[in-house]
Amino acid sequence: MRSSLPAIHVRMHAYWGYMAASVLWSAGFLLESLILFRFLWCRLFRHYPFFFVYLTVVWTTNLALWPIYRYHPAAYKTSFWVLQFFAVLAGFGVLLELMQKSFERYPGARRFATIVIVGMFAILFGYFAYPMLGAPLASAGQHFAFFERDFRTVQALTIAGVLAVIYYYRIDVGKNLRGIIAGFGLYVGSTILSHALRGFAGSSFGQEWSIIQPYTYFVSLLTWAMTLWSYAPAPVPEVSPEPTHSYEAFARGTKEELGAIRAQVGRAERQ
Amino acid sequence: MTELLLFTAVGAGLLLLLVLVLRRPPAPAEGGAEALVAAKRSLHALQHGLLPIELVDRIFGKQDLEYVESLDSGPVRDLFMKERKRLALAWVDQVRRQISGLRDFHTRRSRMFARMSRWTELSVGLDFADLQIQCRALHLVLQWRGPYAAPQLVRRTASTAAGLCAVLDKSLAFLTPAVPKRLGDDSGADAAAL
Repeated sequence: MRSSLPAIHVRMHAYWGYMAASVLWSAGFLLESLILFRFLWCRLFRHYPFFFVYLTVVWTTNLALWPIYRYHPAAYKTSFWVLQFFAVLAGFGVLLELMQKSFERYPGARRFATIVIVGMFAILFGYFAYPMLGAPLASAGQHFAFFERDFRTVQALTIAGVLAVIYYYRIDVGKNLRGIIAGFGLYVGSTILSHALRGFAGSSFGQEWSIIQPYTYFVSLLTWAMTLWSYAPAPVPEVSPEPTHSYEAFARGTKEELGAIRAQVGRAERQ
Repeated sequence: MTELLLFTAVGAGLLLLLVLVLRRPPAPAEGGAEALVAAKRSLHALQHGLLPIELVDRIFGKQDLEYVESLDSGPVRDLFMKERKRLALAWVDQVRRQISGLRDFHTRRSRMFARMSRWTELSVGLDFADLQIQCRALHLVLQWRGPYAAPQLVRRTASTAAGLCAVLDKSLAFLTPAVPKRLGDDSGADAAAL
């Protein structure tokens, strides 16, 4: 009796783990469906088409993967990474949308942010997509698994670039975009942390994280469900987005004064 | 190990930046009454609250110290020095806050320019950051050496505030709609306003 206890414990643990994963998967799928329904009902897809496509891809992926997981578990891993590839690509569309919508009424800030996004996408394509060209499907899955951490890192740096511009210019992006950024940032950030720590701590951490990561994704879904319930755009600035004064004259004036101030403070510090 | 640190820094940095962005209140739309009033308040605080030479001389001049020292009381002198240091630090902090105000004012304005130069904007941003750091360094010097340790430093900081005033003046001029003295000056041959 005593000798069979660990076996029972392991079976119970596996059972509860499976149950928790199933409940979480079902709840996540329901939330995704709810968000998509709200997008269609409130016609939010007109305002955030890339995010709608992204969520549709994720929803379809989940729908397709469940029967594969149940009936063809051997094919699950390759299918997961191949389908995940499309989800990650669609995720980049969300980043473009974030940049476009966040800085829609702030052309100066948009100009600054565009170079960040384009640069990151070029790095991403060169680093990730090029080695996969011509590779067979099975090895493409392995390639993707291998590159996912780096891929997410590029995504994280891109989001960080957009966030830095939003932070510096103190731009009000509105409730919807704030929610998209929060959910997406949380998911990408936690994924990178999981890869980094899993690589360091090994499979023991991997098992823990396989429970934690779906929860962070669930929190992201909850955030999206709450913030994308209805259309809530950013407030419109009261002035024209194209001031009549020259930027160069404005910036030069600020820069000249700053130069004088810095020289004075620098001299004072040296005394 | 390096890899772990690098990727952990990226992941944690993103989450931290996310928290910072979500917690920071956005700046009101430029051109609104709130921005104009805030900018004018900054200007007023500098010109009438921080910059007057009498005030600077009173805080950082040695007249008060000489009087307290003439009382020949150690505890009174210590208390005086402590309070004066607090006052001097508060003054420097106010100047730093006004620089922050200028930065906010600049960014609120520059974000609207479609033909903004990225490199110039980056350079201005770095200048602001540099200036903020220098102000913090000044704060440390005052904290460490006391309010009377660097009179030159105080005068130069006052000049800094004066420079800042000029910048705010220029920025406010951008916000104030120009009213031509006489329409005829700005009109074409058909008397249409240009």
